[in-house]
Amino acid sequence: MFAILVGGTDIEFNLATLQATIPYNYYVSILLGLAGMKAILIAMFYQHLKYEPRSLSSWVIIGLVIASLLMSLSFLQLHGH
Amino acid sequence: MAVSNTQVIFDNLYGIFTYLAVIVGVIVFALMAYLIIRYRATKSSSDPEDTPRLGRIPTSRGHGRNVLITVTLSTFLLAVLIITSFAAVDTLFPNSPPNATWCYGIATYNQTQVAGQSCPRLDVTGHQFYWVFRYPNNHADTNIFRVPVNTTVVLDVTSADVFHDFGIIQFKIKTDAIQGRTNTIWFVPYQIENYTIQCFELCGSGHAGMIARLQVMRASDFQSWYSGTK
Amino acid sequence: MSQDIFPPRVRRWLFTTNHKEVGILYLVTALFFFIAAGLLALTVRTQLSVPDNNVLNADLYNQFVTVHGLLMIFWVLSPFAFGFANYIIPLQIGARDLAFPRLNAMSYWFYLFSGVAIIMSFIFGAPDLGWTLYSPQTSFQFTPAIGLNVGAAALILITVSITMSSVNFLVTVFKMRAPGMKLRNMPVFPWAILVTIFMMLYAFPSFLAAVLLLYVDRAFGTFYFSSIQGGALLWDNVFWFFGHPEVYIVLFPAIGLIADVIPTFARRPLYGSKYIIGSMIAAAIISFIVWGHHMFVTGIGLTSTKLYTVTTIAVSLPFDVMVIAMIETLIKARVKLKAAALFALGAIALFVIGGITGVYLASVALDHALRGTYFVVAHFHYIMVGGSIMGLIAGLYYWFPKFTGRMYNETVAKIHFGVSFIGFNILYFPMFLLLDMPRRIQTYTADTGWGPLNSLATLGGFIFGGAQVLLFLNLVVSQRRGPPSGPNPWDAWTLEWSLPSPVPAHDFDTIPTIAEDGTYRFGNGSSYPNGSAHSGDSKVGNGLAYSHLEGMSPWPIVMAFAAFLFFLGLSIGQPSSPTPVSYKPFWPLIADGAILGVISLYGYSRERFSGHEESHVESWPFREVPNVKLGIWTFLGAEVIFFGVLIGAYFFVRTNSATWPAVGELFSIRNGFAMTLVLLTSSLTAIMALASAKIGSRNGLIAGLLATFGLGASFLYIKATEWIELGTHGVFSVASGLPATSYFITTGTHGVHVVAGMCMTVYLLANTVRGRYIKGDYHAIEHFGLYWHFVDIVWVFLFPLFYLI
Repeated sequence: MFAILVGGTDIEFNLATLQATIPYNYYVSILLGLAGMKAILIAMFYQHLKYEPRSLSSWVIIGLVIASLLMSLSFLQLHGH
Repeated sequence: MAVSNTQVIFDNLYGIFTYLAVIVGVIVFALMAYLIIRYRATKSSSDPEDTPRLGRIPTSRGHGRNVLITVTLSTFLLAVLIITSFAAVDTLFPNSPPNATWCYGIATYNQTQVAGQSCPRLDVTGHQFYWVFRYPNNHADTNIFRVPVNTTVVLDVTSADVFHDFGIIQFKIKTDAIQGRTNTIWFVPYQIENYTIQCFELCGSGHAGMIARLQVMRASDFQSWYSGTK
Repeated sequence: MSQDIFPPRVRRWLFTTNHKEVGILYLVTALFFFIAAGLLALTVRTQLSVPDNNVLNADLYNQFVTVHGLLMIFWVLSPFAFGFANYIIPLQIGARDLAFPRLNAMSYWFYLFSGVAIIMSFIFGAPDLGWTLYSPQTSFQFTPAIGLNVGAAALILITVSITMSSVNFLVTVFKMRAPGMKLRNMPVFPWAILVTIFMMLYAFPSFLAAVLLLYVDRAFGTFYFSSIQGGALLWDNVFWFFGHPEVYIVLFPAIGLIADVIPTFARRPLYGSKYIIGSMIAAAIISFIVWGHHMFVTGIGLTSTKLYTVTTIAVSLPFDVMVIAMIETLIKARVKLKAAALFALGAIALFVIGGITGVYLASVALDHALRGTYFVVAHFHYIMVGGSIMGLIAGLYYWFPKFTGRMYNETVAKIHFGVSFIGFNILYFPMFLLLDMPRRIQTYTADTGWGPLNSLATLGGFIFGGAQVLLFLNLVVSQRRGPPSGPNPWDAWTLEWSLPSPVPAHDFDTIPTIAEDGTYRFGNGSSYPNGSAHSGDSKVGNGLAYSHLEGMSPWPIVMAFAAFLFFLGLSIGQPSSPTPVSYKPFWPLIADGAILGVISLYGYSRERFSGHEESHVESWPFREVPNVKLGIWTFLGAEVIFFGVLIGAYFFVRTNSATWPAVGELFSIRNGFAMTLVLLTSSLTAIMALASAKIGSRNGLIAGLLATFGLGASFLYIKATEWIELGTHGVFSVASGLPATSYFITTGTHGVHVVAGMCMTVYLLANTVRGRYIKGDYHAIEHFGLYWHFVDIVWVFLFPLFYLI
């Protein structure tokens, strides 16, 4: 697990040094995707969510879904005018 | 009496809303009053069979069908309100503002008029605690805004300092004045009259005094005034 | 010890953690603030009663209007509701107290001290830009007075109070219900509180972030709200994202209350109760996607405004269902118009008017005329006073016999209703007709024609305000001399009415059970009313003897006072000189607060205090999740929103900036990389510590904790060197531009969380040395881990967001 996390970070670091060669949008998406993946891994394994009762993990997931919906709404506003 | 196009749009929409609001309100209040009076407790009446009493959870009561009816009827009504609102706002704030025609008749803008193009927009800037109106010839007035009657006026509104709101009271139109942003509004005045412009967002201690006059002039009077400014 | 300093009566109220007493404290304090805010309003109305008046000058007027709004929304409406919730909810669900009683008391004292702070702000010039505190007029440049800082401190304190309460009630309602008290068997009031709590949990962190950023702008000269890239719209978004759910937060408890009062006095079950509850949940969820209707004329574009029109108009649908269902309860009923019923029904009527006019304001087209006018003022007062306050007063009359054991005077109460209802409409209805008049102006000229309606409204204000005297007289006198009410004067069905009035200290002798057929069973297996919920003498079954002295703790009030001093110190410093650009903190108070805070944290943790945990409880859906763990995950949810808003603010200002430093130009990517690795490793060591605790290896646990602490320290060390280097190198300090601002504040907040985590490791280490946490007692380590890994996750996002893009 730890190895995966460190590996992911290493990829991010290297990606940054190559930043000029990648279209910016893809670059940001990949980085955020990697970050998200690391976050999910930490939550599932370190915080033990994978092993917790369903109720708790659903709780967390629902909250996160709602939070992401809200972020999207705000982005709509930022790029809408 | 119609004083501007924006006021007419507002009055019509407000009228629709109020018509429906009164109907709904009357129905709801009448229903409440009827039920309270009809089913009020009297000495001779006794508690209904399913009165909730201490010792057990009350029985569940109510048809989903009623809820469905309520929701469906409400949705229709609300849809009407949404559709009429969208129509109104599409007129008030089209994707690109209509052609401004306030400058037609002024010598410098003869070409513009002939080509059917839009006059430049007029700039409105809010300050603590006054309004500045700037014309394309760089003439600026403080707290008095002159425009010709029956022409289309398009304004760019912004602020030099804090968050103000530019509202022409009788025209039922306003927009926020925010530093670093420009908000565009437009109107067509119908009467030769003076109107009130006021700030509608608390901007500091002088907020209540942030009042300007909108002076709608006869077209010829406006043109001669404009030509005389520098 | 400290217990001997105060006489027993004072001590009882200062140190209690009993939910009933905390509830009474909330109610009395909220009513006090209600009077204060009401007097402010009456002064304002007097000023506005005639044109060109000068009872209040502009400055005082703006302060009065602002503090009136702040007090009513934060210090009256919610605390009033939660006073009831504290007293009644454990009784209604068959629990002995809240999940975390000391936390509950602490919530109250934070609330009280925050109220002291906001009142104190008048000394320094109270906040005067409306309760909505729009930017950039709130920035240092335009409002140098420190009263606004004090107001911000008060708001932060009350947010902390509310967050603690939210976690507490959530765990209580989910995990401490009596056997058989399934969620669907609960009355509507606990449901309403539950829904309110969810909204609080996810809305207030946004407010906290907003106030924090405002404070940082003012105190350190950062640029979130004083720049063009952030400024008015950043505040608008961040504030109203909280602000709209907030106005539902202050409304829903009253609706829940009304939904329970009406069936009692209609003598029939509530019509469509599950639809009412479903509608509340729907409205709560939708409330998070309507905030843009406060920004209809800011120029955010038709796509957004049309979307918000649809969502805002849609949110009226659940309220339709609720109102119709409550009215349908009256069909074939037997309506007894006691005071509580009058206020409940009156509240519904006024709420309908408020709701209908809300639909007007939901239309983006109409809003272009109505924004910032008295139409808006009328709308929200119909909801907040007509709906919420009237509903809460209904609750006051309803539960007064339960709290005091005495009955109030019914005739005076009915007069109170009549005068209030009439006065209310005379006060607020004219404001709809004043739809041309701007808000928050201290005077107007006679030629506007607004004079007569304003005079009428002021008259109504005095009638409405004066009527409340009847309320207070009635309750105060009846409390001493009213006739005994007995346990169930209304013949109601909810569990609190099975207990004597006033409710004894220990609540239930034995926790009741709800059987499959819905009947209550008490103690000896018999059902009410044949079984009794209260044995005549004070001896209690189950050995759960409970006196007032048990369950008292001085730490909640001490801790709250410490926080009060701390935040006050942060806010009353004088502007820096010679060129004022920020404030100097007032170190003496900050230091006092911090020291007292540390002492009280220590005392709190060392105190022997056991919460009441019954063995058989209803706890769906969190059956297998322990209370504290549920509490921590809930708290982490709030933290997600908090950091989400901070990161969102960063995105906002960055998107609005034409230029931004390129990758690697400002921050050393290697530093960020190192910090990420360090923090990831510290999560690993935290896991190892937990594993060691579980298998009983004390040395492993100590090693793990020490390593985590050390890695946390390394993280902070790298960050410190980085900050110093940035500071000395360029003109790169907090005040030098948005890239700097957003970086320092966001990573700084994260850093504070790291420091907090390290303090926790110290505490855990100290206890480990004492022999705790081995084998079965590992939970504290697990909970620390949950928090620590969350802090790690936040950094996992901050690293790419600040260093790599």
